[in-house]
Amino acid sequence: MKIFSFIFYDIKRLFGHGKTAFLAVFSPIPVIIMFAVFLAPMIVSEKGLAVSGAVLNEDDSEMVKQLMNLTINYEIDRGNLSMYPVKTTEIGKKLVSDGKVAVFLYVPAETYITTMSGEKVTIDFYYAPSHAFEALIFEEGIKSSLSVFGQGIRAVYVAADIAKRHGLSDEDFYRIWNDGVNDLIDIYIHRGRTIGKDGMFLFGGSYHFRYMVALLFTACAFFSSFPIMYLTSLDLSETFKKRSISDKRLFAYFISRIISGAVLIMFAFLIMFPVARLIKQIKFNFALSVLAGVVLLSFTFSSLAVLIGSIFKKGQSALWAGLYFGTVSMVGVTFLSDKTGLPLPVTFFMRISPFRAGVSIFSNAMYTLMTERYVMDMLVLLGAFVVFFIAGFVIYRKRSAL
Amino acid sequence: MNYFSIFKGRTRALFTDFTSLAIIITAVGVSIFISQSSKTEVIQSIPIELVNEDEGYLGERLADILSAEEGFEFNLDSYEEAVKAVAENRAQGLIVIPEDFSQKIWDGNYESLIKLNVMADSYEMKAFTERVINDVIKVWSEVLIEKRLHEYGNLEEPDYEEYRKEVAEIWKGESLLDVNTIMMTENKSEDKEEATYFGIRWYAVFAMFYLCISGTWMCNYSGTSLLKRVSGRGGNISLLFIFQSAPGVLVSILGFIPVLITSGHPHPLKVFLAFIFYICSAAAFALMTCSLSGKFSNLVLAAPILTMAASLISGLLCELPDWAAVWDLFSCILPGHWYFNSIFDKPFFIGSVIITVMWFAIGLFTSWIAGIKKRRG
Repeated sequence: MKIFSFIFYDIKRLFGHGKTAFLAVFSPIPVIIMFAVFLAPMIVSEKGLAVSGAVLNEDDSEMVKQLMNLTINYEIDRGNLSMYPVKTTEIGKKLVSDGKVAVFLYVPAETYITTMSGEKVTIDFYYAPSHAFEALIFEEGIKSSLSVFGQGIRAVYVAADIAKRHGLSDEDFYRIWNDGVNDLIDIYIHRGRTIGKDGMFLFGGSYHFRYMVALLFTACAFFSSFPIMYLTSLDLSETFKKRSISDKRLFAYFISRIISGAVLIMFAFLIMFPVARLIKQIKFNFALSVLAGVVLLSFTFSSLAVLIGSIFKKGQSALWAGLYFGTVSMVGVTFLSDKTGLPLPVTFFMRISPFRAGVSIFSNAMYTLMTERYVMDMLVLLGAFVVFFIAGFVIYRKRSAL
Repeated sequence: MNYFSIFKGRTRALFTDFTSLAIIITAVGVSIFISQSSKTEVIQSIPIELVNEDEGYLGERLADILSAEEGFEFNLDSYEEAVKAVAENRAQGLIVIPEDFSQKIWDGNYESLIKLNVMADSYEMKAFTERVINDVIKVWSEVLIEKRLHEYGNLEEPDYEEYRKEVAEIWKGESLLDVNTIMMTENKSEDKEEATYFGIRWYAVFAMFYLCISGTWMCNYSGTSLLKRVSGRGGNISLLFIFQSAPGVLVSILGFIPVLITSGHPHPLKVFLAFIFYICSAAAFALMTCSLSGKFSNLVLAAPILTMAASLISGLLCELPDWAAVWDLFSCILPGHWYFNSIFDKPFFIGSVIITVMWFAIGLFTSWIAGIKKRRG
């Protein structure tokens, strides 16, 4: 039997393994759909993250009016925001409670005069827990930028005060003050341009969305490898135990299993990509870099599955090991991969984790590609593949000889 | 029929099967950690590479301001080293301050003052760009205001030094304009840090998963000789299921006690009662999952998905969005919905009782159907 016949035969076995292969290939679909439905408003919106809100501005000063108009109108024009003016705080709060708007912004009276006199003013930002996702991203932007604006006003105050000590007239003092605040507004409305982007808020609002898509893809790909573990363990405990097989033939079986396993995982990807793409706003590039990542990740997970399947005599134990390995890896990537101050072995394992590399490849290659990171992640996957392949074959051979 | 010996046998099997028992032990640890960590502020640092190529002094000023940002650790490096660090996953972002940074700011040219490269493989990076922009804005504001002072013309270098020093303190301190974030729940406004009880919510998710994944005995429940023996001796199938499931349910309840205590919930007894109903329904849900799976290789794929779906729709994993009103309605048939209600002081008792009975019937019915199918096969 030639190697291609082996592969073809093994693919038939793997796919013909009843419900298991079917579940492995199609299980990502409900997961992606659930994920998509949960983020429905963000996904179905033409403009991505859209926040609906109510606003009550009780400060009638021109400066605050101008600031609010500039801030809000700009985001409305970009389709990120729809704002409705309300007459009382009660109406605003009720709109949030009833779920009619996601946020309510309340600017108290004399905000400008109070800050001018050097006192602190607090703007209230109400949001509904059910809209926490988009509301808190918006809040993060508005809070940090308003906070800097407030600090800027203090800086203007300090400058004007120093100048006044050196004989600045009241008229000039107010001129410096007003010019300074105007400068601040000018800076404020162009803040995005400092990094070469338009707009005021919501920069980076989609980072964690990209990250979740990448995490989901990698996790689903790993769980698709479960039938490979199970079948490998069964083969070694039953078929290969009963008759002696030459090394050459055994190697052909081993290679075929890894290739057919990779094909199974790639099938899961083939299903994941169109399903994810059908959902609006899950925009990503299906570039050659992604394709190369898919192929290498499939081979790495396939060789890992064969290794796990070879180690455990019982198919059930192999599945348990796979489940634990997958869960620990996922938790590690989610909570630890970006942290400092971890014990050295944890940091090292996170760096060489194929799971981490997989997530990084997708979050990087499907969006803005940073070549250096991509190449390094591919090398990590390649290294992991080689290690799993060699270790897998050594154990595979040993188990079958028994 | 000695159901107690069935109970004893299953208990022994459960405690010797460490692979599945480890799930509930981990669940207790993780849930307690979640309960505790939501009460205390955890400071974590994400490494960021910073390259300062600025020929003026403002690049250094920006580096100083950035280093005060909480939650991020900025490492000043050469461009090559910085790129290497990001590539090797030793850093999650790269900020390059170009050589003309100071010049551009003094000239009033605000286009692309810095270069920013953010890796999107960390959840914490969502607010990073905003913070970097704000810090650039700080440097820019500082210079613009200083230029106004220069226009006045009466000041000397020590005055400018005094200005820069005071402004540096301002950037470190409080703002005059702050935003107070308030979460609204049913016409009540609550502080953002209000308890969400994720510990007891997520424990319930883990417990359901544990019952599903440790239920391999249920996969072949309909076809085993045990069932035949019990039927042959005139035993009751429902009682058999109850006594077989009881050890898993008890282990889950025992694990729940420390999680509930550490959660700090104001009405622990009420939540405990709701959890008992929840876990009984979850056992029946596990029977359905296991019967449909048929074997462990299928169960290991189906259990995480079904548990996640049931928990997500019930609102246990995270708050249900209000546009998903259909989900909320649908989740009434799921045990998690009523348990969730009990945590947030909503009516739960009658619903829990009805749902427990309903799931018990669904579980037994599915198992019966699976048994018929298996026998025909």
